[in-house]
Amino acid sequence: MKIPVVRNVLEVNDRIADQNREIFDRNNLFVINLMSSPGAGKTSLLEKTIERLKDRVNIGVIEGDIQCSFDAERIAKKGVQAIQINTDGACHLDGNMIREAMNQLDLSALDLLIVENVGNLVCPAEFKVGENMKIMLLSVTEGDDKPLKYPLMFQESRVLIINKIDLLPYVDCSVEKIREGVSQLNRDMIIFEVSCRTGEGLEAWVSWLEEQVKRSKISQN
Amino acid sequence: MHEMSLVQNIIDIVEQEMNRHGVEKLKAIHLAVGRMSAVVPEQMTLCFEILTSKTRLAGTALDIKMVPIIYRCRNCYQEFTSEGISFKCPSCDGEDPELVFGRELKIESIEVSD
Repeated sequence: MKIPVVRNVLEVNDRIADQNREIFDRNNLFVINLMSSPGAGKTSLLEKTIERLKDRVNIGVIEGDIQCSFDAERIAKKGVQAIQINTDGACHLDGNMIREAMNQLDLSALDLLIVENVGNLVCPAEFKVGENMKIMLLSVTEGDDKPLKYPLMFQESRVLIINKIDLLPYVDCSVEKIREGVSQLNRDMIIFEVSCRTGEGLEAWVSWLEEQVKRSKISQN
Repeated sequence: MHEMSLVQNIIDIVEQEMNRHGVEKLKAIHLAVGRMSAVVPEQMTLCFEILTSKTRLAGTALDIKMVPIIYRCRNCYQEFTSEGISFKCPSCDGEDPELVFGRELKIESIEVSD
């Protein structure tokens, strides 16, 4: 005899993520969940973003890695609060890990919280942590077939930042093909083309981000 | 890849339901797992055996129904599958389809012996 259950396996994580979100909203905080493959440039992007934005927006960062605190150290050098989570093997951050990390931050003093997820183009897309939006990076050295190969990540993210465009003359990567793949999956995805190394395209990204933080404060109040 | 933590979640939910219904032993647990969830059923079964060893769930069958990935065109409402080669609607070439099935990770039911 079968007893109906009909419960979501991830219900506990979803509940914690929703509670995290309530806490963030109460603190007037805009939260992004930054994801990509390892080495696409998440931490570099954060460094450049913080440099350009920290005088106008109070930023805090939660870093997620399997091991080591290199990334949190890099961010801390930019003069903002950075908390490092070591997952010791877990391939993504979840709501509970963020709950523990956020307790170490003075949320009321922040306008923008950036969660830098574990480098992984698969699993982080599955797990809410309480963010306002997911933002992903793809570097041109990874190839232009990634949208169709990793559809969930591209469908779940609001923004795609194509990084390392200074290397385009040296790799077989068509930005047009990336855009084409994205338009099949997520027509409203906002795309920025940047180089963290040369600075190209970063101004547009930072302005857009600042605008989102401002808008979220207006709608929260 | 994260099958172990998913299975722990399943066990926690099932234990709650068993207590709720006053059930001591189960014949099977029926899951619906969408193909988009990147979960490997064989890994789940293995993790389940490991985590339930010497508990009241030891020997319970884990029945995993894989749900195919189905998109619905926002333009003409045609439903279709995708092998990842194209996500355009086969009927009208529309883009940006809605994912309607394939992301499930659900415990549908628990089964007791009659």
